[in-house]
Amino acid sequence: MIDFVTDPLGQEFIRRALLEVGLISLASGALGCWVVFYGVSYAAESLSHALFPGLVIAALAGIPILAGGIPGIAIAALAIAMVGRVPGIGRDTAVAVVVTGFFGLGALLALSPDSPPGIQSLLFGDILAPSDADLRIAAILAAGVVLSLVALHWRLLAVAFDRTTAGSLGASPAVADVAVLVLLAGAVLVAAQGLGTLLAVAALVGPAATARVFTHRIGSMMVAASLLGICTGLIGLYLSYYAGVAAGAAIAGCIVAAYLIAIIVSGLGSLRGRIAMPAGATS
Amino acid sequence: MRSRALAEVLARTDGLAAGYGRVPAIEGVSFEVDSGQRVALLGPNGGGKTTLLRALLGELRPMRGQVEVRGRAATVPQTERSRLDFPVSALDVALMGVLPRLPWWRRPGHADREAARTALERVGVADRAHDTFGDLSGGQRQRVLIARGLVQDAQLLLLDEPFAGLDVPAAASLESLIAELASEGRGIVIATHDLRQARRWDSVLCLNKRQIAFGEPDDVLDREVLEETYAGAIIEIPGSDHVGVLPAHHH
Repeated sequence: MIDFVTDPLGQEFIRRALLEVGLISLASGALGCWVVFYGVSYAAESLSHALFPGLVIAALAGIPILAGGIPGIAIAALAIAMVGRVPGIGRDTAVAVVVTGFFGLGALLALSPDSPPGIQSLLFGDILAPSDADLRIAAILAAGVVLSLVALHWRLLAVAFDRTTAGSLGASPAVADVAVLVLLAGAVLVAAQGLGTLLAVAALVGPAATARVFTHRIGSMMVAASLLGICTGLIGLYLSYYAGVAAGAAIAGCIVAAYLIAIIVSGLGSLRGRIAMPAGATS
Repeated sequence: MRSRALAEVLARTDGLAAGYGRVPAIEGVSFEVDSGQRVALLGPNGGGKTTLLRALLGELRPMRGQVEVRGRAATVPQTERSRLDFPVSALDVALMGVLPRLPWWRRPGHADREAARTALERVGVADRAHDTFGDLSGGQRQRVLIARGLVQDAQLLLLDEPFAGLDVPAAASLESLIAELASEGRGIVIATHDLRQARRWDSVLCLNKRQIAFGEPDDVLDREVLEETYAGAIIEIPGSDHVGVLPAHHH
């Protein structure tokens, strides 16, 4: 039984994967709470898709994929902002056009016969094989996201609580929106490296949505979301090790399963409360 | 005017026009709030009450005329506009009042928490400090937001229809809290639909896209002014010489 737990930890690649899972969970879990409250889950999805060509080009050039992801995400954000200004096209349409355009470009590069094998892993991530440089950049980005969230916490809180009066409290809604999107770009980069552009959004939205079910304060929700990310990541890695399934997909599956369990348990709890109450009233 | 020379003017507008696009939402507003005064802000929905409050807060620049506010102003919004499912405690909400004094990277400290606790105690909701804001009653939520204004150290409090949705006891106790805060020297502007309340306060500003009247309630609140303010949507109250306003929801 002990061997069952310790065996994978003896493997260097699993220890590195755990480190990667921890970095993703810290950045995505904490920021995910703001993603939920600012209603920017769609933006998270868009950013993670639109940075795909940047990752592919980096992989083809043989540089750390995050070194390609950072300019990739900046160009995508710029493109969305520019297309959004074209008259007659709504913002929603602009985002959709840019995202599918960029994603298609990335797929074109990744799936051409000349591309080295394994580049497709950018779609679903390669959490088992991050390079030293990948881990280092991910650590810097994750630390940046977490420290910014600590510093900006009360201003983000004031804006999310009530946009109309936040300005009178010295918390500008416009600045808060931009801050959340910039931090989102950082967290998406970290998550996309490990989980791929298609699954990254699961780490951002899933643990936060799960934590929301059983926490009542934003601080405890952020801590719970990060811990949930680490736990589901750990279970996903073990599942991948013993069942031989793809690690990124196993982790994303565990995140979704945790959410389903949370809403079922909370649903049963409130049902029991409702059944118990009339019984108590009659006695 | 009663001891006008002694009372300190906390806010004054002169020929103010303000709004959001090119067309002003309010025009020709000239009034003032002295320390210790309660000023009723009367007008139909869409008549520009919230616009005036935002101009006093400095969130809207005057298109014409002038706004002068001495010291700090704080707003007490309608709580239906804030997210009631949001995971913050009453203490957290009161604590937001320290943000204007802190640089953007600083978090509220121990002394700030003490100030927020004292403010909650002052408005009588200290026992609910650790409850989720959205779980409080409407009257308690108004008190927490007033506490936030006290933490902001605001001399001028701007209350946007604070009595909306409150039952009679809650409204009465909120009104006595407002009287206490005014007696401490604060100026309080209260948007309301309740004419009987307005008659008890120090002055009345009638607003319907432009200033209809401003002055002491007895001088201002006659049928002609009210008809102009509410564009005819007023009714006689049988058996009294008072009139009521239709858009208001009375309990």
